[in-house]
Amino acid sequence: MRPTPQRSAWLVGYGLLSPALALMAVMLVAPLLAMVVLSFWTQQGFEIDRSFTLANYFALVEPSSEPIVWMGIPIPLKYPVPAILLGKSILMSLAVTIAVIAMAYPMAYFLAFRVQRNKALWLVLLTIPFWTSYLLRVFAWKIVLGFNGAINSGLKSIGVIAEPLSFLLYNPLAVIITLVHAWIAFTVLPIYVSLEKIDRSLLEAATDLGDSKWRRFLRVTLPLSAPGTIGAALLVFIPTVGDYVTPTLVGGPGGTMIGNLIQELFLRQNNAPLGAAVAIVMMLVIGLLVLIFLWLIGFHKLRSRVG
Amino acid sequence: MSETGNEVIEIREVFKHFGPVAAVDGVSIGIRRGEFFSLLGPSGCGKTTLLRMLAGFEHPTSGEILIDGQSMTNVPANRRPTNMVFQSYAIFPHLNVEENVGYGLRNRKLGKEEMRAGVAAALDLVKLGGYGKRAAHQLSGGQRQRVALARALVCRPKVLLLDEPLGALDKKLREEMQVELRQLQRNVGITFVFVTHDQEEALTLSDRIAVMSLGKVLQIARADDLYERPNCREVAEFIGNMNLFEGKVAAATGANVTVDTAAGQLVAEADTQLATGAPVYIAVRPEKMTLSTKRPEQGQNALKGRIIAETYLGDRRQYLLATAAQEKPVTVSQQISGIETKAPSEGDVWVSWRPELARLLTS
Repeated sequence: MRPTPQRSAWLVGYGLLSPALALMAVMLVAPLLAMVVLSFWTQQGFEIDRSFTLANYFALVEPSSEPIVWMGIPIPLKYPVPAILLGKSILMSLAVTIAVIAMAYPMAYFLAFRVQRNKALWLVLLTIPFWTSYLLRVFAWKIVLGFNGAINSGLKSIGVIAEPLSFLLYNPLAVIITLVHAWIAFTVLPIYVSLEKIDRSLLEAATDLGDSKWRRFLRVTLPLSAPGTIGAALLVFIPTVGDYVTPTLVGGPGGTMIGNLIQELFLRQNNAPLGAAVAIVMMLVIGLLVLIFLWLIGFHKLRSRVG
Repeated sequence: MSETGNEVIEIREVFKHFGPVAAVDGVSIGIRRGEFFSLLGPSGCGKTTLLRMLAGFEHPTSGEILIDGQSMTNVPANRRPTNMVFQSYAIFPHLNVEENVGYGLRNRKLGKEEMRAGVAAALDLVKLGGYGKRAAHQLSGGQRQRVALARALVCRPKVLLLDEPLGALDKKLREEMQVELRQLQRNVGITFVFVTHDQEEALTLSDRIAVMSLGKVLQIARADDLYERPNCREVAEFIGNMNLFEGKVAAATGANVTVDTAAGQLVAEADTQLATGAPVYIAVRPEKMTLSTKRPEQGQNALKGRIIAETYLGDRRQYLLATAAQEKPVTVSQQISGIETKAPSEGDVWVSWRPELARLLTS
């Protein structure tokens, strides 16, 4: 039997998708399922007890009568570290995301509306930081912010400070600065694309209908670039919550994030099932936050209108 | 040109240079209040640039534009008493029909009720009542066009600028919209400045037309004047079909001028005094010519030729005649009314026209 045209188009579609699908099945879906399964087991010394239990999840929410106070918030949990670190990671990622978008948007705007020639060159220049490895860039920040780093020795040599500033490195701020730098170039591109796509006659129409430049930006440019900007924000927020390399290198004890805890549980504390449970909870919380965010800004409406 | 005070737009000696290129090359036009005025010309003639200067999106390199007696030189686009219907319609994709139409009103201090009423009235005006909640992407081409019109008209501009607004529509819809646009303009009484490259459209719609070429205005006239009395070869050829015979003035007796051409002596009426020997063109419309198998009577201009092609156009038949006199074939158009008498396709035929139906052009 010969396949019908629709059927063969369908086959071609899945044929083209299949390498990616296969890779995702092996590298993403399978490990994820393994994690889910693992989180229902328990660690007994060096052995893993493979009987199904929700003990790991209960441990994360088990209440305690004497709450620990973190940043003024009482946390009534017996094992409060994961909850605190998750909350802190989310706040830090939020700060990173806001800073990244605040810096990337003007850059993308400039590129889309002001640069007339050699746009490709500008885009290539933007990617230059990516020509070195992520690890090297994090180390670079260690050198910039360090005790005898570029900032401290610079300030010392011009006599602004007598002793090196110690608050630059090994704290949440250092993590945030490093993450902002690491992610900013990723976000310029999607924002740039969504700005570039805006029909210039729409901007002229807005002006023609009486808008000042600022009003026109708020009423036309911003809403029409929202899909790309929101996409960029999620692109930063979701992976940075779980990042552990940057906090390990520049975070110090105060800059620890949830990713560090998961790593600890899996490796040093040898409690992979609990680590898996923390990881799963982190994923669910991030997913929930993203959904709430998208619902709040009415993303479904945006998509149906712009698309 | 600016003899009366009822001109809502005065364009005075406006030049616009893009680098070394003069897109608009010394244009002066007065547009009367309440008029449907068209800028007609081939692409690249500067008509859109001129319109964009009226809107304030481009600024003259020199010269001045006045709207309602006020110089627009230092008035930014968002403060001009003009509104524009864009070629692409520029409907905001993130807003529905109502929000699109009300866009300009939101920049004015209007009450909610007042605004709703304004939007509803504008939508009724363009026959889109009840479409307010439609999303932009649910509209057809013709509907987008109407929304663009309503959005501009609701602001009650002194001048409505239209940049080839019918270009994207199919032929049937375009003709319907032409009629509607004309009626709409009469109803609202707003001055329309309409840019088009379609001469038929300009002739159908406009009170007056400015024909532009290479940044200059060639002629400003009513549609019938433009067709019957073009002032130069370029206008004659751009508007409709025109047969041109190049020659030199041989003699002028009264209104009749005899011209020596490659096709022999031809006679035409002139409204200016012409010196003997002056180079001129005799211009004759295809439908003013008659075909016959016998040599026509004296007192007419006549040429002998052979039919090399014919085209049936429903209401008329168009013939191309090869003549000994010139390389370019002569076009003759014969109205088909009642029973058609077809010209013979074999052998010589005569094409003739009366002197007063031809036009003498000096440039």
